[in-house]
Amino acid sequence: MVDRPPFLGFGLGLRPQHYAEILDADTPPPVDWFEIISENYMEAGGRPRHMLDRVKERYPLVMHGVSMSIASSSPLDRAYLDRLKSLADHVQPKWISDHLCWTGVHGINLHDLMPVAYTEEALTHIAARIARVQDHLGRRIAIENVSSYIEFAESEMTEWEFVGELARRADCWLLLDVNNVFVSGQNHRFDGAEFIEAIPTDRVVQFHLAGHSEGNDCLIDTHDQPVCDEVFELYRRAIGHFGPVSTMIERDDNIPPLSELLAELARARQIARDTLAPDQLKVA
Amino acid sequence: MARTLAELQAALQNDVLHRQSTSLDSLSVPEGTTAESRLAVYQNAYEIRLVNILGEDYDTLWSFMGDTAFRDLATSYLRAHPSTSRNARWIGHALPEYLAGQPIAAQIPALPEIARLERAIRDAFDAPDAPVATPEDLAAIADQPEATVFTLHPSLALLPMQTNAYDIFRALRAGNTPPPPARARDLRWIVAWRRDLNSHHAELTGGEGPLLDLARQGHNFARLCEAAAMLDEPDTTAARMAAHLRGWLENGMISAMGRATARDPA
Ligand SMILES: [Fe+2]
Repeated sequence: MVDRPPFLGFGLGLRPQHYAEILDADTPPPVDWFEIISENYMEAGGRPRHMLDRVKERYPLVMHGVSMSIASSSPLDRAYLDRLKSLADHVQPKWISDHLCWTGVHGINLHDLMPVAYTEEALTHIAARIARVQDHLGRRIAIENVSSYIEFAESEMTEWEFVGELARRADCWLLLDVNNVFVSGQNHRFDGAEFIEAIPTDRVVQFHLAGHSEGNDCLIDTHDQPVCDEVFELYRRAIGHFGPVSTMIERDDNIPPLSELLAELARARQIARDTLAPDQLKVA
Repeated sequence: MARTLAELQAALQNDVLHRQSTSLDSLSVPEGTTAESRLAVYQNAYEIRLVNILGEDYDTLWSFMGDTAFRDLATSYLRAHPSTSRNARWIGHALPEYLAGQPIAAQIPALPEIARLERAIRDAFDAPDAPVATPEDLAAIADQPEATVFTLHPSLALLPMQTNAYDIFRALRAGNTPPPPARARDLRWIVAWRRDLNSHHAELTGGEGPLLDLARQGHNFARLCEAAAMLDEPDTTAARMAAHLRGWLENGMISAMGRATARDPA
C-alpha cells in the first residue's frame, strides 16, 4: 500500500458565484483548498478557464467529475478520459474523483448518479474499469459513494462491503460523502456509523459534507441546504475512524454567500480539533 | 429472474426516460414505502433537472412563451433528443432547430430565432480562446489590403433574422414589455460574440451584416469592397468599409488578418 495523498485541510467546492469573494478580497478567505467540477472546465476557453487559472495560482485543487459513468455496462468513453487527462495536465490536481454510479447506457446520459446492484458481477466489472481509467490517467482515482433511493433485489452484499472490496480490488482511493452515507442509511434503514466503520481506513482521501432535503418517503440528496446536525455527528465518527482526511462542504444549488459556507467549514474544523490531536491536523 | 448488470441498467434507464415501470420487480424498498414512489424520485429528478437546464439556457424564450408552453416544448424536445452528451451544457444544443420544426414556430416564427440567439450567446461564453486583432494590426496589411482575408473570433455567431426576435429579446432582458412578434420588412443581422470574458450581442445595420458574413466566409477585402459598393453610394465605399473594419477590430470580432492562402472561400 503506497502512501495516501497529503491531508489538505478544509476546503470548498469552487463555484462561479464566489469567484470575486475568493480572488478580490483583501484577506483571502480561510479555505485551504478547492474542489472543481471537472466538466465545468473542459470547454476550451473563456471566463471559466480564466478564473480557474487564477484560483490555481493560489490554492491546491482537486478535480471532481460527474460523468465518468464507471459502473455503466456500456464501454468507457475514451474521448472523455482524454479530455479529463488534458484538464488534469493543466490543473495538476492533488487527486481526481468521480462517483460509484452509472449515468447512462447505449449513448444516453441521464445526468444523474444512478445506483448499482451490489453483486459480484458488478464488482468485477467496475474494478476492471477503474483499473483501466487509472492506467489511462497514470494515477489512482478516488471513488465516491452516492445517495440512493432504491436498492436492488439482485444485490448480494451491503453497500459498505461492496465499496470496501471495490477499493481493494481496484486499488483506488475512496471519497467518502458523509451526507450520502446518512441519506442512504435513512432511505434503506441502515446505521451510517456501521457503514463508516466497515470502510478500510487506508483508502479514504476525502470527505464530502453536504445538505439534503425531504421527499415523500425518503431523503433526497439535493446539495441545496446546509449540512444538518446528524451529518456533522456522523462526520465526528468518520474523522475519529479515519484520522485526518481532507474535508469540504459541497454545495451545488441555492448557493449562499461564501461566509455561510465558511461558517459550516469552521464547524467541521472544530469537530476535527475536538476529535484529533493538533499535530494530526497539520496541513502538508 | 435476477437481471444482469446490463439488463438492470437498460430497464432502469428506460423507466426514467419514459416514465415506465419495467424494473419494479428488481427494486427493493423498505416497509412503509413503495418501489413506485422511489422510482419516481429518479423520474421526477430527471425531468426537473433537464427542463431547468433548458430553462437556464433559454430563459428569455421561457419568459416569452410562459411556463406551460415552455415546459411542454422542453419535455417534448427531451423525448425527441434525450441527452447524449456528458456535459449538461450541450443538452439544449438542438432546441432551436427542433423548435423551428414545431407547429408553434409556423404561427410565431420569432420563437426559434429567439432560441438561436440565446444559444449563440450561451456558446460564446466558453468558446475557445483566440487572439484578437487590433486597429494597429492594420499597418501589417497596408501594402496589400485587397488581398487580405479575415479570421473571425471563434466565439462569433452571425444570425440573419426574419422577425423582430431581437427586439423581443432585448425588451425582455431589460425587464420591459416585449413588442408583439412580427415579421421584419428586411432581413436583420444580429451578431453574438465574446469579448474580455463577457458575451455581447448587437444588431448590424447599414449593410454591415452581409459584409461581415462575406468576411466570415473567407472572401478577401477587395471582394468586400465590391459588395459594399453595390449596397450604397459607390463614392462612400472606402469610408464605409474603413468604419466597418475599425468597428470589427475595436469590438474584438476579428482574430487575425492576413494574405489569403490557397484555401478557397467556404
Ligand atoms: Fe458528494
